[in-house]
Amino acid sequence: MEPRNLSIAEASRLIAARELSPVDLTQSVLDRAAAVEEQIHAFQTLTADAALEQARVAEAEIARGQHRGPLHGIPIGVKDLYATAGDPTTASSRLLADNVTDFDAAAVERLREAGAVIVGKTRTHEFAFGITSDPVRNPRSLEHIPGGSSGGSAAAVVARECLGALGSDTGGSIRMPAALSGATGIKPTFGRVSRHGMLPLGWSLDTAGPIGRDVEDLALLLQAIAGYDPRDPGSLDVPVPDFSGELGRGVEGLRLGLPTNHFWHPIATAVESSARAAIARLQGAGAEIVEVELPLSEYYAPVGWAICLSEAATYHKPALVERGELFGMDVRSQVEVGQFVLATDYVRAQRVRRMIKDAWRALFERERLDAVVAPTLPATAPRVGQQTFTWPDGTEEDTTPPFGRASLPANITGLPALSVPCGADEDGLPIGLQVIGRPLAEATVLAIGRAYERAAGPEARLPEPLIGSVADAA
Amino acid sequence: VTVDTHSAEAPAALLDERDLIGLMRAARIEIGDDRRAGILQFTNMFRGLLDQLAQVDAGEQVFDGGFDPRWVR
Repeated sequence: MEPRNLSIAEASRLIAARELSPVDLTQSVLDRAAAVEEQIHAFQTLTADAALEQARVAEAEIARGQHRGPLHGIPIGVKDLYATAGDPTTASSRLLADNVTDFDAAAVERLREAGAVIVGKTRTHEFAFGITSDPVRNPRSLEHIPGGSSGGSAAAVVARECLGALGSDTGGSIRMPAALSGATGIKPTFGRVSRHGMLPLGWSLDTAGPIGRDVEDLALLLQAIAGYDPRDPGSLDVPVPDFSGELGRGVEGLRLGLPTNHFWHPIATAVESSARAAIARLQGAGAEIVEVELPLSEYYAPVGWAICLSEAATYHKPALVERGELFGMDVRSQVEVGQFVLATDYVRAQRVRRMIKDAWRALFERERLDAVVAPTLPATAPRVGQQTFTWPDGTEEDTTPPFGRASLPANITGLPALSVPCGADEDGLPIGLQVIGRPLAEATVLAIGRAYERAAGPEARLPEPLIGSVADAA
Repeated sequence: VTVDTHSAEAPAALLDERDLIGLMRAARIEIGDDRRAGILQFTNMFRGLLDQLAQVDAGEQVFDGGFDPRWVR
């Protein structure tokens, strides 16, 4: 087996036992990148030489008995929103084409301390403000988008150009590409992972988090990057549990809320059936399913858009005035429209946001819920250039709003939310199950995802992608 | 230019190109003729969302800036 086809957990065990060389593993993902990048375009910048040097250092340390832990010698991609010392950090924008950063973002610092090998900067939708991540393509089907904004991270993981990656999630930007590309992704609780050194989209919504191949790998990645950092004013000074240690606890006795509203209309038929089947599997594994009505659901989109547009417009105002022509057209338009949101609209949105948080807290307490389970998104990946969805009832809708609708509840409330693959549609395009947990309950969310993977067995793992003519023998 | 998006007498859909140009001037940004129609459409769509938000009775709810860490306690 090519080492790149191992999960992080599998590779880590072999590296620790000195049965796998970090240099060979890194070379394996770099070979893959060389073979498929012309089609996938997942990386903004590949740092192959630096990666091999890091891998050699890791190998030497491990040979000396200085094994740092499960990420030591593991090749990781970093979304191009995160600063990395000595590399371009461009947010995939022409505006930052020459922006070479001289420091590591907090999450990157922690990855390096854990011994991870940084293989490069993955493409993002420009400034994390969109869902297509163009020119990145979905490794499951090159005619489809990978989702966004962390599209390069999800595509690189799925295409085996790295074993895990950093993403960021302001309105679904980790969970959406994970679901559309067939990866796992977790948006941790707001404040769980430091955003120091990560370019902002919307300060009060932005969340740093990982994308991986399976839930076990997410636990390892989150363990490395979680923790208090006074350099991020949103960072929470709270203990970090042992995410991997709690993975196997199962769902026996857990109460999972199944929304009767918001997530199910409109929705693609295959997505609904896969998500409901996945929830039934969790029930079969011992979870109690409780039907719930999500509160104030008609206001998730207005609140999310008002906050995100206002905060993004504030950050980008100088660039818009001075060099607006360098923005991509879609991002420029959103930043421009953000200029027209009144201060009173923004404050109202934040007040309603608090009402939504309180209502969710009351729901969790009243129904004694451990999590809410729902589809990650109501549709599978659109084709490149596709502007609208046609729903089963014949109505049409632009492609962006439905994705935001499903993702925004966790961003507005700050709750941790996982996406785990739970099947595919008739074209083989992946479908995701979303698990939204209580504040700081990432361990429970991950355990539920892991329980689903186990209950589903091989169905939970999508087939290896065949990219163009480049088939990767397992 | 006055655009009262929260008034029942002046719903968001009444935002027209003259209003948009005024708003752009106030925001000190330039949008070429070729892009005005698209921006106007997006602005009106978004104004519709804000009108929806205006329907919420927020009562005595305070403004916590979105960072209030008490939520996770």
